[in-house]
Amino acid sequence: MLTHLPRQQPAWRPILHFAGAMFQAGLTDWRTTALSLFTPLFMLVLFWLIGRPAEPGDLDLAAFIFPAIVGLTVMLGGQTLAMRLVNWRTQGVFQRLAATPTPVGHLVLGLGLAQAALSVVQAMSVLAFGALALGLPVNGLGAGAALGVLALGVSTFSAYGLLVASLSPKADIASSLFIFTLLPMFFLGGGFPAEILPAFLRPVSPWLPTTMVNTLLSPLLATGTLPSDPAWPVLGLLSYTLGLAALAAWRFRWE
Amino acid sequence: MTFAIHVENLSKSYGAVRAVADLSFSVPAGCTFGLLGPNGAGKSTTLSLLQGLRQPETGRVVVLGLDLSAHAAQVKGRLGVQLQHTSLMPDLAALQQVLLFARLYGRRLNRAAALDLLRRVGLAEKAAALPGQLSGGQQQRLALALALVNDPELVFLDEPTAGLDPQARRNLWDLVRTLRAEGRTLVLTTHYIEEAEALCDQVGILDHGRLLALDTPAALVGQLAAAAPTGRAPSLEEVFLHFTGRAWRDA
Repeated sequence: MLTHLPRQQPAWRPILHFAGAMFQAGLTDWRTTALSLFTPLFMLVLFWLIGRPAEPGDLDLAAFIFPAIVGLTVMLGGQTLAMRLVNWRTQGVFQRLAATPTPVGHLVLGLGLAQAALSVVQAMSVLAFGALALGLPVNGLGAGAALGVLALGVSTFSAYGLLVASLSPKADIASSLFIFTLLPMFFLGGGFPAEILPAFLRPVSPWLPTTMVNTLLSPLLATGTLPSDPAWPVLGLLSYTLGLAALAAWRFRWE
Repeated sequence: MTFAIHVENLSKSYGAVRAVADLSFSVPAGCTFGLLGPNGAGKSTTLSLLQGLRQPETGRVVVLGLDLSAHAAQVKGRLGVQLQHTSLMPDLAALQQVLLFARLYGRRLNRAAALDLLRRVGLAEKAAALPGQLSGGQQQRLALALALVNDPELVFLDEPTAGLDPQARRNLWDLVRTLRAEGRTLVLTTHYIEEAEALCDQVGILDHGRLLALDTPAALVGQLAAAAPTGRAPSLEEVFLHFTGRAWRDA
């Protein structure tokens, strides 16, 4: 019998393998991946149908909300992540994973990376649909740079999904909790023009992560430029990511 | 004698429930050890403590010569684990699961080696199937393949034949015997007494978290025959009932 300690592999290796396997599984299960595009695509088409300007100079609601819906697509990745984490916990998958030498936290990180990559692919699909099928205005250069903002946004909302999973005993509770908190944030955070929000809610808007994603994404997609002061939303999203991830790590139980 | 597992004064509670109480025993290397007990006896908790999945409140566990509390990751890399509930990843096909789990153990299996492993548990033709497309018995066998993916020295099988048809059960028995012949140590829990009799070199009878008896099946039968002579040799099942009683048990 061996009594020596076997050499351990570098931590990043199983994380990347796990992320790769889960990303591949997400692409293979294209029906589920496509189905999760339904909400943003439905909203986009709806606003395109009802929100076209009646007269020149009117607000083009579809063009206004387009960046927010692209952002919403990556935010919804957090919901998928939350549901999967809760399902894995209730089905005992984490228990089996915990029996391997790879720490569960590394595998959660790998799963988060895979979901983030899938969400960015989905967001780019919504972006392409809006631009090519609906003719909504998109700056080509800005669309490329938007990848960085989408990555930042998906990090924040994956961390939020992780926290929701930590607090939810069942997948349907995680789903409801995520969506019922995300949608108000979406509409307060750039989904609708600030002028039509009730006055008492307007001060809340700048502090929301949805606003921060939209603040960065809107000018990038429209004109290919960042806002005049990008530090606030970037640092805000980073702070949210770290804070939510720390809370989730504190609360997370794999069984 | 070399021990694959050495346990001293192990205890674990869930709230007011004492799941494992001051457990001490050793499992010789290369033997098949059966842990028997009624529902809720503490078998699965004991296994999870030996696998490093839970932390004991008291006691010490030495597995494969290493203190589990200090070297959990290293020990886990040398264990094969099949849990009571199959716990398969729902999104990955059988072959993908084998390849991924090999990576999680720091090993690199090629496709042919992974298929060989699936063939060993009779699942080669289901390589592309997701767990949801497999029967309960097939899922059980896939879980067993994952337990062998790292060529483990010590294999834990928690009720490995629960839900299997007679053919699959006999095939699994053959596999357990092969694994033992390869020099591996096996620890299994089961509700089937004839399974323990057929497979195990040593049997421990556990109830209320305490080890009530520990010996070879033949020695346990001999002890009962001597203690309560009936004119015929008792079965291992009678030994089990002698120690654990006949009352209904809930999990």
